[in-house]
Amino acid sequence: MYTLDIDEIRALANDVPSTSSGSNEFDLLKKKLDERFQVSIPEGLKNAAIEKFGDVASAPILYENLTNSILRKKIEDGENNIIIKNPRALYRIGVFGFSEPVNLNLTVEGNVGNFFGAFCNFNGTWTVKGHAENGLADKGYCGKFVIDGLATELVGQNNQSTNYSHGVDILVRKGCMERAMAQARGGNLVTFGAGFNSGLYMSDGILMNLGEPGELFGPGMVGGTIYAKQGTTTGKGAVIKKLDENDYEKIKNVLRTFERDLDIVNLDAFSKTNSKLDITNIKHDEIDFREFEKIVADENTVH
Amino acid sequence: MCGICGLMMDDVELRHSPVGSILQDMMESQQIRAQDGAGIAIFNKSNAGDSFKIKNFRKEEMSDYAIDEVKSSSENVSENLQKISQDPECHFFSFENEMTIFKETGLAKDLDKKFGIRKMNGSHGIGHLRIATSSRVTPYNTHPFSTTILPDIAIVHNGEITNYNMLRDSLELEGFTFHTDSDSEVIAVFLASRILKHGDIERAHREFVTKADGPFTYIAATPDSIAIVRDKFGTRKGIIGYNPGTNGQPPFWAMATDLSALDVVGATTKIETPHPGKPRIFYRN
Repeated sequence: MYTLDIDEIRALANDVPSTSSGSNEFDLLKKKLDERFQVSIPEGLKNAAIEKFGDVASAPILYENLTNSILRKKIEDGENNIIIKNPRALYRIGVFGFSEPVNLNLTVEGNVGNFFGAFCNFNGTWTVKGHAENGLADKGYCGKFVIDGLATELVGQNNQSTNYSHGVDILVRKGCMERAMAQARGGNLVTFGAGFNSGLYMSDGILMNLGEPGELFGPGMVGGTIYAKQGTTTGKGAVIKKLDENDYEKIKNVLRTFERDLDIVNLDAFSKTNSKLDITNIKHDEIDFREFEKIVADENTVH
Repeated sequence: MCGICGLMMDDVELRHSPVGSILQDMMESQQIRAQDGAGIAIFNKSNAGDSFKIKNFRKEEMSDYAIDEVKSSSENVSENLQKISQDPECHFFSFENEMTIFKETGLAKDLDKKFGIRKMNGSHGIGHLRIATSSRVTPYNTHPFSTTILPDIAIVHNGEITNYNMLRDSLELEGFTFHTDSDSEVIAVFLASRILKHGDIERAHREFVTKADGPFTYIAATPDSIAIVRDKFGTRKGIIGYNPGTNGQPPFWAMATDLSALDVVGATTKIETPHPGKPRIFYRN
């Protein structure tokens, strides 16, 4: 188990005296970081930081880069359980760019900023004990996310399915803002509420909204399936259909991934004739999937 | 990719709360979004009175500009506003009674160094970080935008008003004056025009959302209110949170583009997102 407190990086950077050129500041910081974390910061960051943010220590791009460099090094060293403290909604945490899936359970104690876990490619669970911002798991390949809070726009955007993975599985306990699973090409999202235009241009994957009915779901969708409560409205290119037996099987498979996280009772028996599930998300609820319908691409508009 | 933020103190006894310091933290935490300009508007009722400040930029000093401040009384304020509006050497900056606006090109921390934002007190305020899209990087295209129609209206905006020309033409036909090339200014002028017409700020916001096209979120402040408003399809984000009085802060509502701005000031309870097209308004107690 490794714990990274991002405030420690901030404190290291803030201890370095600020200079107008930024060169000494950068070199000093580089030395300290090498001593403490055995990671190096690229020279290119120096100019970018000074040009955009006036100095090195106050540049958020520095903390993004360092956080990911430190974590990447730990993963390469064989660590597969990591806790992050004090993320303070820093952008782009967990963007590692590994070409092969890595084994990693990651817990973030706090809020994460835009593009958390973008391009993710892992086996394990990444848990956020807070909220997540735009582009959660953007262009992700594989892995499982559990977000305890809400997530803003574009959750699971461009979620990928490939020859080795069906895509990323995401649970958002307090619901998503607009355009969840936009342009998804795979993966599964289970959420308790989703904003306008969710499923925008979706071509594969499953969006399951267990919260209140949504509006304008699935505009321009050409594939994939959205499950949502009756009363949900669709955008152009999407149509509403009744659930069939195959849908119940698909719903069961998606919920299987989050069976423990949602404390689902008797999932094995779930079927069209046994359509109620006891689910405990923020609170306990009995969900009857007979009240649900599916939204799919309108075959009359898909060419 | 601009960053906007705002806050309303929750306690009537705390009108002179450290609004500047909280806003400054919120702006600096969102600096990654935009670096071309920064600005704030802070409301403090103890500044209210019979005199008005009309601030403007002198055109010949634009490369290293200075702000002219014309102090006016109720008797001559209209005349002074008209003079400034018609003076080709002037760029209107703000029309203030209890409100104070500071704005500048560059970073939020430089705005604080120049104007001492952290020392400013009040009941509520808004802030902006600009990345230039539709108009040049100049101090007068920096937010917040004010109007010469009514004092103490300020707006900050993230996004685009795509039917800006149509809305502007329509307001100009009604006799209202614009002072910049920015599409954001149309929000301030529209709201002021509607307050003049019917005096209902909530209705004014609703009317703007109905008429405006494009992706946007804006935060608008008047002496008694602050509102966060998203376009009718929710294509720009905005989040709201509450600090119940932790970390030594007095209780307040905060709103921003990025979660980091709420996180940094401890406004992470009651997190919500404004429903697209429905103004979320907080009134001064």
